[in-house]
Amino acid sequence: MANQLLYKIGVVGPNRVGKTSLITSILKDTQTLLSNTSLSIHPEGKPTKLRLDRHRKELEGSLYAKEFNPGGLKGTEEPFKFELMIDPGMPEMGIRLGLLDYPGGWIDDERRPEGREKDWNECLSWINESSVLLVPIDSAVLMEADQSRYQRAVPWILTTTEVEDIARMWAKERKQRNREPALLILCPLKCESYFTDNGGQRDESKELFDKVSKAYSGLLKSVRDEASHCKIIYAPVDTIGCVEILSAKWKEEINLPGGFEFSANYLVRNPGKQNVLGADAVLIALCKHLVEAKQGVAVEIAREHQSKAVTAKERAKRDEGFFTNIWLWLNGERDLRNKIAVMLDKKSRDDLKRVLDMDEVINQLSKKVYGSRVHEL
Amino acid sequence: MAFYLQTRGRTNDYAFLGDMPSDHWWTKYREFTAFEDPTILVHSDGPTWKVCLSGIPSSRKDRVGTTIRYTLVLEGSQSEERSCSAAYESVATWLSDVANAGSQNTLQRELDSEFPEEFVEQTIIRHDSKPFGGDIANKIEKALLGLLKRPNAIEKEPSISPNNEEAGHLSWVGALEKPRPRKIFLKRVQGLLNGQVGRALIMNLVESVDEARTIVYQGLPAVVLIEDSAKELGPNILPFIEKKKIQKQTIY
Repeated sequence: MANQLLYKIGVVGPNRVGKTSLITSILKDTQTLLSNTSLSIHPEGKPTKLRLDRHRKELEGSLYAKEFNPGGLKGTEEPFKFELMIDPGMPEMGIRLGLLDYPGGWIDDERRPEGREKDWNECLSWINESSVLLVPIDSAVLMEADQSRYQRAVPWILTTTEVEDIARMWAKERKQRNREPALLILCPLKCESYFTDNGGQRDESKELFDKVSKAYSGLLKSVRDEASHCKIIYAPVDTIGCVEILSAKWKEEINLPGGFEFSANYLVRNPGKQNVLGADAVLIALCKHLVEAKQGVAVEIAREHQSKAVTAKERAKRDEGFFTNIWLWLNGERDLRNKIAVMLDKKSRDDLKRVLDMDEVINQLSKKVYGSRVHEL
Repeated sequence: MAFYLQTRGRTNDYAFLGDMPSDHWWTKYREFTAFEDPTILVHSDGPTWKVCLSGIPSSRKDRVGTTIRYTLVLEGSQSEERSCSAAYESVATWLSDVANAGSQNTLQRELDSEFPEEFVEQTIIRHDSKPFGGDIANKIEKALLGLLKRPNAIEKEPSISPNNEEAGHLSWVGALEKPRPRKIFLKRVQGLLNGQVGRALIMNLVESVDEARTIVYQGLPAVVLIEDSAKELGPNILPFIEKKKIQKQTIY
């Protein structure tokens, strides 16, 4: 049996916020983070690879033409599960990160197309089974709303109420599975214009943090109330890196619930090359999360030795989801170690080294300190 | 006969205008095609057929400036001559538009003329859209029948016609870039709309003969056009040997 851990990650955000761009950025920034380690990360399976390749080409084409327009990136019409593999270079070993992308408009009950309830329920099941929830946020909408009438439109554009409802549902599930670690990551996107650490001129990072905290205060309270053990990370990401807002446009639209439609014009900074920043925090947070989960399982295994009445295995089997996955993964890894430890050939020794290296890299990453952009809430 | 159209508004996400198909059968192909990009799926069980064309651009843009697309879903039976004509024209035109890489946009123009921005915006925000259903099906049909009046590049290529042997293979793969496989593909589409059992597929995440073969063996006989970036295929089709027993995991 393949000894791969499937790490389900839920993503919840409105349509056109940049969910696919965030996934692409996580891949790109993590590749940098893992350089000079024995691990690599790559898209798992051809559909994921082709979709990410297309997304990258659309973006590069846009930047090459020096006329970045977020609209150059296609939106999502059908749910799709992206899989990224953290690969120790050994068959059947590794960690698969599964991120479910779907049309963002579906999170709004009133706007979700009829007939897609079944698909949406499958998305919700995925989110519920995920011990990690990513919330991408359109920074530009928050930061460029410089009049009260625009600010009133912000919750409608960002669908903060709907995002909060889903986060609350997710947190309730985490409460039920309170022995599993839980992680919520607020990811403001399109942050290039508000930080000075990636080529920008203005430092409005504090203002961005304050605005995110205010706009998502309901969500934060809900998650804290429902799942007090949940860790919450604020991790702003530059998905493009070399762009900056030139002007923001608020167009009055009486048919829209918020009354306004937001768009922005961007300047491409020289040399016009994508320079993702901040997405590595997601992997670091995942490694911290994973190490915490492994420690939790280790405690369970220790208890198993102390008490024969209820074994850790039975306990784990009663829980479906992340905890069971970790338990099985660790046991698979342990069995593999035992198996190859008695073999003396070079290949077995190399395999054992890779398993140990993967553990070591994850441990090292989990000890990394977040960059200055990141806040633990 | 039932015609459905999915698109989006400036802010409202993708949804069918008016009525929607009871079964989203095309989503079974989501591992093989990105519906945001050009896709052609034609299925026939003999008496009835269904068609899905996706990735059709419109002239409209969403709130962040992305080109809004259409997905067209058509369902009918071989006995409905008018709907068979409309379905054939839509497939042939979309194939021609795709093969000519955006230089024609014939299908886009017909759909845009029937579905201008104002109409789409008003329709897509209505959740009690049932009263619009009939109108929309009629408008789709009108747009597709309008294609009959337009020249079709593939149909007009004079020297290409499939020979009997080529047309007789139940399952094969061919290069989307080559005129002959496209012609034979359309011949099969015509057959499917007229009662032949099988599938005709263009899926944009399928790029190799092996991948095409896997899909062909997962269901009814199928003809598949792929972008032949690996240059595995020549100007002719590559037949697949028929399997006597269809594998358990069937798509259709």
